[in-house]
Amino acid sequence: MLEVKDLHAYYGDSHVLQGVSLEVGASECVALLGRNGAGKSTTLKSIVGLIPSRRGKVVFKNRQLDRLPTHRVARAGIAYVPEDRGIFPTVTVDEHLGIALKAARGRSSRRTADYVYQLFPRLAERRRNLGGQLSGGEQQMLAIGRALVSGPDLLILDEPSEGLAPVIIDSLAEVLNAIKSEGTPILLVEQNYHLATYLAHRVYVLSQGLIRFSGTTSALIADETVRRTYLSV
Amino acid sequence: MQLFLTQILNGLQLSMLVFLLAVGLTLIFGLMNILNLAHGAFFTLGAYCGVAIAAATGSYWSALVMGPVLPFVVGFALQLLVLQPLAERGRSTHLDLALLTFGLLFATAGAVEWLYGSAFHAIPTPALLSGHVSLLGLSYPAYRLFIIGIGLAVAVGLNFIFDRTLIGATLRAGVDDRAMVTALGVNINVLFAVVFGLGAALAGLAGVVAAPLMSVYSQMGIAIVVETFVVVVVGGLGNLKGSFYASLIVGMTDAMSQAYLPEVEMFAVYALLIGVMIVRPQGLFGRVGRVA
Repeated sequence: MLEVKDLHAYYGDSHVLQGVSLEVGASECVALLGRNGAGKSTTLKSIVGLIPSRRGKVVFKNRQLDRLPTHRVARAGIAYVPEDRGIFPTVTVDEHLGIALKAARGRSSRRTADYVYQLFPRLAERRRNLGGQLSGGEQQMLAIGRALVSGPDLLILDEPSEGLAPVIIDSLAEVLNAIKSEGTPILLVEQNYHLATYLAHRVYVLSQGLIRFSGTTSALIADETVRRTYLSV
Repeated sequence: MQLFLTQILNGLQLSMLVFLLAVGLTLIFGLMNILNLAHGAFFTLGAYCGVAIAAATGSYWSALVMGPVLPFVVGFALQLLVLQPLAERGRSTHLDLALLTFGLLFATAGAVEWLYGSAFHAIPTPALLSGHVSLLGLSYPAYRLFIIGIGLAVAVGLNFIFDRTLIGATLRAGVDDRAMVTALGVNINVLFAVVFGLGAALAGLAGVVAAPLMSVYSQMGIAIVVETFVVVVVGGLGNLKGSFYASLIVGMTDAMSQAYLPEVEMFAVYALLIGVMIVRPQGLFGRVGRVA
């Protein structure tokens, strides 16, 4: 599905990604773990083209995506939920979904706003509210709903649990689990080790811009050295 | 009393003309943060297109409809092919853009003078609107009322597009978080270029609308651009409603000072700007946090 090969990226002069390679297969949920500053968010941003990669390849459904502008990456079927959720403060909940739906109008798998409102009934009650009036949990629901409404072939999530109350994280985990069961592939960056291992089939561990571990979730749980060295869990 | 009422109507008419210019600049500079001193050039361009079309077809209405087309095309192309690529290369600070667009403003004046000479032109008032209308005991030129009507129609129309349509929502989203809009699959560069073109077209429309009243000459856009910026800043950057109210304030200030205090007419509007900048640097209707 998605194949990232030897990706290099820079912030100014600092060499943040030093050759990251990873794969996400069909119907697979893959987690990218690592400490703060390891390059996890940068990897996701490079894949969707928000940060230019200087070297390496991103191939998705046999199409090369690196060098494409971000809106073309999105149209290729990759939906991205950024770490800050990317909710527009001056745009209503309905309009958030409308913009995503309109941008996805050539896609046969595209869903409807009602699909999102069934998934997150709370959002239906707030459909006329502006993004800036939503709570953190509602913003995260909207960010995920907006990503799903296009019927993506890959869902990329950057720290969905960040800043949310434990009870909200639990319900988020259930929704993500359901999305996973429907067969939508997910690439997930997460600081919350328990959420990540609950959801992911496979795991990559990133440190200082390089992949240090790659294997199944149970292999990571069994490997105490990797967990201690790169994750402190 | 008669004079006062006439001046109110004159002020309204001037306000609406100023609004047509200022609302485009509010979209371009206020909302998308593209400093565009060349906005006056689109006013000139629209007026000359109008003069040429009216001369060729003999119809004011053709000029009114087709005059804004060239400003739209030029504005769209300027943003998509020049300003956007510059921004991507990191050359779009206000100073960079001020130099570039200031140059364009004068280049347009020069080009127009080269083509048409420095003579004054006009479009004849259309027959339908050449008479007077009696209103509140006054006999007032119908054409000036028509300008007021156009200004109000544009204000209502733009407000509807911006607040109620998906295109308006996409534009608001693009201003809030441009990268996120592209991550949804929207080609925001094209949308921003269309909006830039729309702003330019409205300036062009102002040029055609003004042509039967004011003289059309090569420097007309240079004269008006500063006043337009005053409106945008007084109204609060990026605030469509603010630019409407600020146009009313500026237009009325101008009209009233002309009638009652002609000696301060030259600087009344600037005194207003300075006053507003001291008391409310974000503009009368602007959100806190966005300062010119």
